[in-house]
Parts: sequence; structure tokens; C-alpha cells
Amino acid sequence: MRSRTCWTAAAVGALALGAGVAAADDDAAEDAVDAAAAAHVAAPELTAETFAGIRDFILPSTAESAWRDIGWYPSLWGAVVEAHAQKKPVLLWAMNGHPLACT
Amino acid sequence: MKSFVPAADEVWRLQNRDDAECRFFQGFSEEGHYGGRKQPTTTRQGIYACTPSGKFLASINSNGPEHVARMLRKALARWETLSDEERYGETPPVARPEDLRRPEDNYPTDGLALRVHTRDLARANAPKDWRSAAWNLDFAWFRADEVRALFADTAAGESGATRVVPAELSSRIARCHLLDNVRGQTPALGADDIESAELRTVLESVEAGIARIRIEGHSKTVQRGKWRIEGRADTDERARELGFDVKLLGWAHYDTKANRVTAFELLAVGVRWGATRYNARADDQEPAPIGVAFTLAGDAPADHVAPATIWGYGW
Repeated sequence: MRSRTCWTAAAVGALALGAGVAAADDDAAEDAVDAAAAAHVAAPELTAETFAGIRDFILPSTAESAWRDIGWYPSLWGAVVEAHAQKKPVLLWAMNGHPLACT
Repeated sequence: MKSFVPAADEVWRLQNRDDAECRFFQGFSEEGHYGGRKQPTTTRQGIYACTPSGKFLASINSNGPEHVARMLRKALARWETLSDEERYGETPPVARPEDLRRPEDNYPTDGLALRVHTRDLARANAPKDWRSAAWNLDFAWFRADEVRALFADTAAGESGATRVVPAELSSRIARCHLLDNVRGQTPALGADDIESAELRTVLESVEAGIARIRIEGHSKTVQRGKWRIEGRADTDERARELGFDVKLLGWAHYDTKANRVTAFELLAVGVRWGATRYNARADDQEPAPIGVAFTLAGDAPADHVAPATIWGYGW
């Protein structure tokens, strides 16, 4: 399994720095590798108690999302219609993946 | 900026499709910074200024503020040299061209629209540059009948009762929204990539017609195949694996009479591994913690943008 390969690679360094786990048998060695790998990636436990802290970490701060305060039209055509009404030029930010979503 | 009407849009559709909006873009974009370019890609992404009549003013593809400001000044200088007819054309643009087709046409007005934020969670070996602070935003949509399928039976049941979310919806969430797009793009997965996608809803309470429903579950997807992982630099398709293994927990407030969700928070926390061609993980493929936060989208037009994976919805 490639996923095991990835976890194994991640764990090698941790094991080398650890207590010198001796591979007494294959199962024990594999368990040790898994434990070291798990410690290496260490996603926080998601519970009702940790929920708010993790949510606040993931969501962008006001400063990080300040670009959304610009009144972007989410379509070129909508901006063209409005620009004609306001007698202004159009500024278009066009990316692979919508810039206001997943780009 | 105040001298312009700003728009943000997806460029592939604009440069490849054939409707009035796309033809409008194609009419000026070839005069821009990537005009005529075919290598290393044909993309026309960037920042453009044009007149409401479709005349090119200036363009650039840069995230440098000074470079963009210079482009804006150049555009305004050119704007000042144009006549009214050159700026606005002979007739005003129609509010909506008949042939216009946009993914936002599928926006679920009477359903549920969510923001979906993704970010790497803290780890010891995080890079010491922009990548450690990277995050992304996408949207997730549910039609009214899907909202009902998610919550109505649970809300009508006994407190504490557990119901399994229909497999079609939990699978779509796993395929289309539990993705590593923190630094770039990851396409929707296929049904065969799902190892498990189990979501349950649990009624916690009902007060004044509003049901408080807990959402919990687990999802694991593993995609195996041959693909490139370093954008344009990677010319070889090699055997790869892309994985996402998360626990989910959250709450919804569901108006039982209106079939409306009035509050919503759902987190997915776990581990991702592997890379896609355009998600900038080529040097970061080992398992690492990641978080996804689903929250209610607002009513502003910018919150009506279609999910990047809308083509995977099957709508």
C-alpha cells in the first residue's frame, strides 16, 4: 500500500531519533512505525471541546480576507453592464479557478 | 481601484466557451500580456482593464502591488484618450445575453450554500514561507430536496436518534469538498476513490421549530494512478497516490417548517498526503494535518460563486 509507504517514510527519521526501537518481530516494528508516523503528523483531536479553537484557526482573519471587501462582480458581464451605467472602465481579475472561490 | 468597476471571473471558460460574455473577453484578451501565447500553456489568466465597449486598455499577470498599480495607471491614461463611442459603444449592453450560460445559474436559491475554507494545521516541519499561512476558499451547494434529505427526518425524530446521511450526499462531500486545495487546485475525485464516507446526523434539541442537529462522521479517500505533480515543470506521468483521511464534526440549526438551515458549522480534521499537478504539494507529499471548515455563505454576489467542483455534482 502506498499509504503505508508514505507513513513509513515519514516515520524513519522519528524512529532514528527515538529510543532505538528494536524490531523484535514484524508486528511490533510495524506498530512502532505507525505510532511514530502518527506522532509526526499529529492532527489535533476533533471534539466538542476543541471545535471552536480549530475552527478559528482554519477560518481566515479579517486581514487575510480583506480582498473580499472589494465589491467584486463575480462575472465579467455583470461588471460590463455596471461599468456602462457608471461610465467607468472594467477591471477584470481572471484566473484558472474562480478568484473568489478556489483558485 | 475606485476608478474601475471590478470583476473576478474564471478564465478557462471565458477563453474557451462561445457565449456573449466569453466572446467579449476573447475580443480584447489577445491584445494583453499573453496574447498569441501557446507555450508553456495557452492560459490567458491575469488582470485586465477594458472599456464597457470591449476595447483593451492594459493588462498584466502579477501579484506585485506596484506592478498592478502601474498597469491601472496606464489603463486610465488610455481611457482618457478615448471618445465616448469608443468607451461605451453605440448601444448599452443587455442585462443578460440570451446565450449566456454560467455555473452560477445552478445556485440553490431555496437550498443551502456553504463557504468551504481549507488550511494546513500546525505541524513541526511547516515551511518557513507563504506556504505555512496558505488557505483557500470554495463553496458547497445543496438543493432544497437535498437539505430535506439531510435534516428533515432527523428533526422529526426522537432526541438523540441517529440517522445516516444518504450515501449520495456524503459521497459528494467527500469527492468534491474534502480535497487538498490549500495551495492550489485539486480536481474532484471519482466514486472509486472513496474508501469510506460515513456521515450521521443526531437530533440534540428542538426549540421554537428550530432543530439543533449534530453532524459527525469520517471520510477517507485514496486516489491512485499516474499523473504529473509539478505543474508545467513536470513532464512525466508517474505512479502517484493522493489521500485524505478526516473525522467530521459540526452542528446545523434547521427550520423544520421552512426547510431552511439557519446556522451551520462543520469541521473536517485529519491527514492529507500526495500531490496533484496544480496544488503545489510536489515537495510536501508526506502525511500532514489539514482542516476544512464549512460555514454558511452570505447573500453577496461574491458568495454565489459556483463550487470549483460543480462539474462533479452531476447536476
